[in-house]
Amino acid sequence: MKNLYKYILIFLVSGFLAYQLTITFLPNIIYKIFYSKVMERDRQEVNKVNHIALPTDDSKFVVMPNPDFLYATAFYDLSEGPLRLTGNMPDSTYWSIAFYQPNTVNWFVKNDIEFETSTLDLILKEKGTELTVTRSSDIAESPVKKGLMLIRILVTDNSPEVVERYQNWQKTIQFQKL
Amino acid sequence: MSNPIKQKLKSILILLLVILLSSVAGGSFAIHKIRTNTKEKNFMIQNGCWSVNPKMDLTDRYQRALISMIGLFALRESEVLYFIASQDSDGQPLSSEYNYILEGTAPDTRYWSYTLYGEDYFLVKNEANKFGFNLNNIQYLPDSSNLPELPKNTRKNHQISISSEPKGDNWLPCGNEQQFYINLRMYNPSPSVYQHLESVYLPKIKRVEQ
Repeated sequence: MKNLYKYILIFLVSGFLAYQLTITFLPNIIYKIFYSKVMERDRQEVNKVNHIALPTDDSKFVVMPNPDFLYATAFYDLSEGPLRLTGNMPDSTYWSIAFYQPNTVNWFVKNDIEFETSTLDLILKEKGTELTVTRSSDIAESPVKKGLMLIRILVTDNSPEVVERYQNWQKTIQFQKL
Repeated sequence: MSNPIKQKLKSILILLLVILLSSVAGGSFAIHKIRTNTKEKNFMIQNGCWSVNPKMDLTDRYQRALISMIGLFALRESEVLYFIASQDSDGQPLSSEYNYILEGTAPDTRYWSYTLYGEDYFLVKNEANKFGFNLNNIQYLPDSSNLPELPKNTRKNHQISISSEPKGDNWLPCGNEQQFYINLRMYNPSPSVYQHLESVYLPKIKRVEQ
């Protein structure tokens, strides 16, 4: 009988812990799965931008993809210092840059209107670190060392020539070490 | 093997089994709570058949977990509003067993689109490679159409046919999905949309005869 109580107690405690851990860390687990899939599929490197085609029914990495967006993604790592994000962006459509923490919290978003220029030049640095070079007018301060960058470029006309034009802009987006 | 050792091994096995079972139970219950807490904690605002999250509060663990499951890497509400329909305007689940007409007018926003997702929240495979409509590629109704439930004298009214088989100009294929979802995205909506999320005009989704 004593053993039965012991097992019931263990069941309740470990069930409670599993519940709390799932609620808290599920986003991190999903992020980790996404990270592993992308790294495996595209042989991606950290701090390198991945230029993705318009989503189709084959796009199974992130739920609810928008078929009107060309995405550019990169896993960033600021362990070796700040990064500079550059690119020539289209000037007649919506585009935005967003950064996420590994717990999937979106800590930064800025769109084309807010940038007021189609020449993208942004420095990404860890919060609290000093900058020795300040060529960029825009600075994004990451609360974490590692995370995800996601750029969305809107393409409302998916005819091949229009998509190609937008892809040419998309391909100019690059990360460099400062 | 002596009896005390056997006894010890048995105890360890039972202990491991109890921990395994309770972890599975705790984890499964957590997933269930993540899904149901949306209603209990009033994360979402309902407007007709559409529900929208008015504040992507990612400091709330339940909300963050839910968004990572069904809207990974979504943007903040200040940038985009995601209106999701899982039911038609009569409250019945959207299913490819039926045909639907989505009838609405262009929302007051910089960019909007409708996208159809399957039960797994991914785009639905179809021969037409058509996954949605946006403000530029939808065919609008002529001014003279004057449908009873749509605003009058505007060139922004539209109708979309949602079905498995091809239907009309604005055909949105729903494949063979027992349950599908429609996501109405509004990027940079006007302040009046934010102020009236519960009552702003949103499209109706009506089940129609095959």
